[in-house]
Amino acid sequence: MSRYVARRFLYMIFTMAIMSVVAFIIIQLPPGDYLTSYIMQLQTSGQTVDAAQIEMLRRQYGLDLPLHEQYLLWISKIVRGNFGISFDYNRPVLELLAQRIPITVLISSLTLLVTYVIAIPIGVYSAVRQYSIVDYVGTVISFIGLATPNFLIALILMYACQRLFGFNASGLFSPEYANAPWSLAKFIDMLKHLPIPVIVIGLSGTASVMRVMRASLLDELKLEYVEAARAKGLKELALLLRYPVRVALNPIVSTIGWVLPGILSGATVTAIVLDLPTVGALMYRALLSQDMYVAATCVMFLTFLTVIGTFLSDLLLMWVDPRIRYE
Amino acid sequence: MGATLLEVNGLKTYFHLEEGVLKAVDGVSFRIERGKVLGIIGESGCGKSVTARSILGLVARPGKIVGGEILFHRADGSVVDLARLDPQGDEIRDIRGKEISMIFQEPRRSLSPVHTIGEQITEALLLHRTQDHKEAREIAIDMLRRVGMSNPEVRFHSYPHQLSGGMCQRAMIAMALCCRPALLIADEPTTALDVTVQAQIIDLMLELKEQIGMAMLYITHDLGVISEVADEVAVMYLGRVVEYAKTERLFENPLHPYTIGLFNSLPAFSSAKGRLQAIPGNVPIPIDPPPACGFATRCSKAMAGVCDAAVPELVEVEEEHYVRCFLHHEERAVS
Amino acid sequence: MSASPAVAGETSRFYAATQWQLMWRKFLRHRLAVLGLIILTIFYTIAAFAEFIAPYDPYRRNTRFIHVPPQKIRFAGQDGFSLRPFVYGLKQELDPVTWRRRYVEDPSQRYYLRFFTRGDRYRLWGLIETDWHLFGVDGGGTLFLMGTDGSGRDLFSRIIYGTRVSLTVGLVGILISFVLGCLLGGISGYYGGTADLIIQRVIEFLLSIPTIPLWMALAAAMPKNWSTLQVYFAITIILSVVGWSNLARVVRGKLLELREEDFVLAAKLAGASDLNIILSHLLPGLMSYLVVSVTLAIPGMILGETALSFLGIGLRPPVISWGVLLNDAQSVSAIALHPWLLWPGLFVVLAVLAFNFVGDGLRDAADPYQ
Repeated sequence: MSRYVARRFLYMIFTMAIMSVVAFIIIQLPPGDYLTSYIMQLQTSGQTVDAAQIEMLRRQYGLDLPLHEQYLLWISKIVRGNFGISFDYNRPVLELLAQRIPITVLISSLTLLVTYVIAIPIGVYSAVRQYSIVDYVGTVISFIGLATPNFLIALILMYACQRLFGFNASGLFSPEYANAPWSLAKFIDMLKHLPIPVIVIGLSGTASVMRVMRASLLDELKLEYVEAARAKGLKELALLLRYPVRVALNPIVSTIGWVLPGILSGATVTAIVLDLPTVGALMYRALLSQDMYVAATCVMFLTFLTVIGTFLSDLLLMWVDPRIRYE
Repeated sequence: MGATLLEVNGLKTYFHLEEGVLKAVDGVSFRIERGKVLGIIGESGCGKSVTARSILGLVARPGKIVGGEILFHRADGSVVDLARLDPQGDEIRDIRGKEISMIFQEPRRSLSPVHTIGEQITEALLLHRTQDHKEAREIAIDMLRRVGMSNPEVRFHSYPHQLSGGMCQRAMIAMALCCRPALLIADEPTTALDVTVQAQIIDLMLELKEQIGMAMLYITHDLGVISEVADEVAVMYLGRVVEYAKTERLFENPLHPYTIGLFNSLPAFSSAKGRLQAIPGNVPIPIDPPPACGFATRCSKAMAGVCDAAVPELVEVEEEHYVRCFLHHEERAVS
Repeated sequence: MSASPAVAGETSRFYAATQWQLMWRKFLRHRLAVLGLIILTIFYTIAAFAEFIAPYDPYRRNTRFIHVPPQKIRFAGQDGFSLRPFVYGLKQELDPVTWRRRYVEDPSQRYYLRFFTRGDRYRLWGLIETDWHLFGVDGGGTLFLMGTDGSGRDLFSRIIYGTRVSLTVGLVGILISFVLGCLLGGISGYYGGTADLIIQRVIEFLLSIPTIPLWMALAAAMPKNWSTLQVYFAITIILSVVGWSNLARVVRGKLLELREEDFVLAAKLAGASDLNIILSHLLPGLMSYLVVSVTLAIPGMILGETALSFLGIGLRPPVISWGVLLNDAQSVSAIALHPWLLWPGLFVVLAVLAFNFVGDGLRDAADPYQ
């Protein structure tokens, strides 16, 4: 058991290590180095940059070193919590992210929760009452949910809100609360804005989890232990929940491993369309202006979130599935 | 003649499929006395498992009991027709696991993979026998000991994947017998096990049968097992009982061509020296079957115009020996 | 026994059918899958003959018709019923309240729809120069089936042209993924050991990171001065960076099963090389699984291209793809004023649905246990 946890944990570290290399490559990819764009920016804002200053900056960022040393320099700074500076905002990257991390975590975990809370009961119902109306409607919705790009749903829902309720769904807060300190009114305002992003981001995940739940429960229902439990004299509903649904939950738990990356992917596009203050939206802006330290840190953070999430789901799987616990 | 426990009369269980009506069980009758063992023997697909499931109301859709009666004499003296009960109702659930239990072919697949052996046994106890968790636990551990598990306290917390197939079947037996049922339905309980383990499990079941004083409906395709456990045997073919007799009598004097074919295909019972004789052909699938003897297509003694024209009756050819075959219709007519 | 010759005939016909014929028969029973296949056939035909099917040159700007709403095709008007469909002419006027330009129908002008009309000149596949189009309206009229964009370009024609790019990005991307997946999955599954360990970790890594942010980061790194062709291929490569991992997993899993089979041992004993064994003995055995995985992987690529182009970091004008077209519909205000700009979205949904249906149908058909 502890070997399993240790292995999963090592794997998490390993993924983050690879991701840091990928992030570093992303920083290096744009033509020229980031100093060039920084200098260009200084120049466009009317400041003069002399050669000595450039040389100083170059050395400060280690740009005269070979690539692998640059990487080591960069990663050693990151380990110490120094993620570099945003050229766009002229502020430390960490400071920029600090406001957005809680909102990103909130939206993603809420979506994850809603995804499973909706998908599991519908999946169970459509398996138990196969070919019923609920089953058909669920199948149709899940097909459409999987086929429609996130941003399209976001646009349509925003448009519908505007037309039907005159409610501006974009952003996470109404303008009057955007810069206000936290209060009950601001919190309620946020709750009003949350459903649309959660629906938009969660739809495709809900659709696939529903289908996995339905398929695995259909498989379980055919197995003999269900009949054996029925032969004990259990009530049908209790039987269903205690045995096949319980067993079918194991594959469901392991879906978190790919639903969560999907949610963070979807959240990135959706946040851009809905103008939500998340890490993904920040990354988009950073990418457009080649603010590469910010972009790389965002990619790393989003990966970090999924890796942590997957690790937690592995622990959860161990808790629900004795076959893994006693491996 | 002992007291009747279960009487099945003209049971019909059909599956309504797209391709037609599959008559899995088509007019089966038998009787089990208290404390006795009835064996049902037949090839796969002959309807023996569906018969067993019909008794407990476990036939899954699209299968349905469409005719006949299953009279069960309950512990309180009342007689209920199980065929008429709502398969999800309270009464059948009160009987399941308490008065009639069942064990299955694949022990490991019949146990939930995510619950401990103990949890699964105590569940049955809490449903039918006691409300007290501590008492249920004690009974369960005692049952595990009685089915021959070493370290029952440890095994109580084991999961099925930690046990061997034979151990799982012992656990299944403990689960089925913990409420001391009057009837145990065993659907090929040893087929999936090693030969040595088979013998142990059969001995265990017979021993517990004596201790509890229960009756058994033992389903198998293995004539050797039947000769060991059963007092009476019903031979099934294509949804019907084709021969029904006391075990010794059936083994001494098998009359139906199918039964004879079964014996001839086994080394221990084969009358012919040399090569074993297999029954030619396969079991047909009884979807919308023609009104004929089901075995006629494979029978070496089939009579054209007779066997493929009507379904033979089950007739008593000698005392307590019933056969469903036109060959023996003649015999009785002569005598 | 009289029935036996017929039965024998039946069985021999059954056995004569190849695996693919059997799959095809099962596939035809899956109604949604057949529907999907029909949709895809239509889409790819459109992609092949886009120049001919589109009534207009997709780049032709028309300053007189900016943001024209879709024109209604009519059979009946004030002057009575007509068997030949027609559209009314358009009149521009200023909204007296908002002072916005708007277009109203002019019932005094009727333009009939006709098949095989002459219009903008084009070169079909860069070879045949002609000005014939599948359909159009009488001279002098306009036919904007799905309205026009901010430069007065016909949206329907642009969507037709976009079909070409949007539906081939997925194909080219899957081709690269397919080669990578077979190669790496094959090595992983056939050799096992360290190679397997490394490839497995890389696959797990790729599956556990959020794809869109990674795609975005890679796409944003493309130099701005690249030609459209370079960008196109860069995007397909970016999409396949992640796409191969699933395929490799399928290949590996199936190979692990197959390599234990006796015919592999037999081939080894006969002195066949490893590559030969993989290519001629193992791959055919998993072709059906690969076809299914490939079909189910294409929609992800189409959605990926659409999302990137929509955000403006994938394909960029002058390339026309559904995602590029949707880029015009980025804000609610744009949609509120010109809801027809969402039309390309419907095509995306249809294409993805069709691929999913076909993939499901193939999966059921390839499953020998049904």
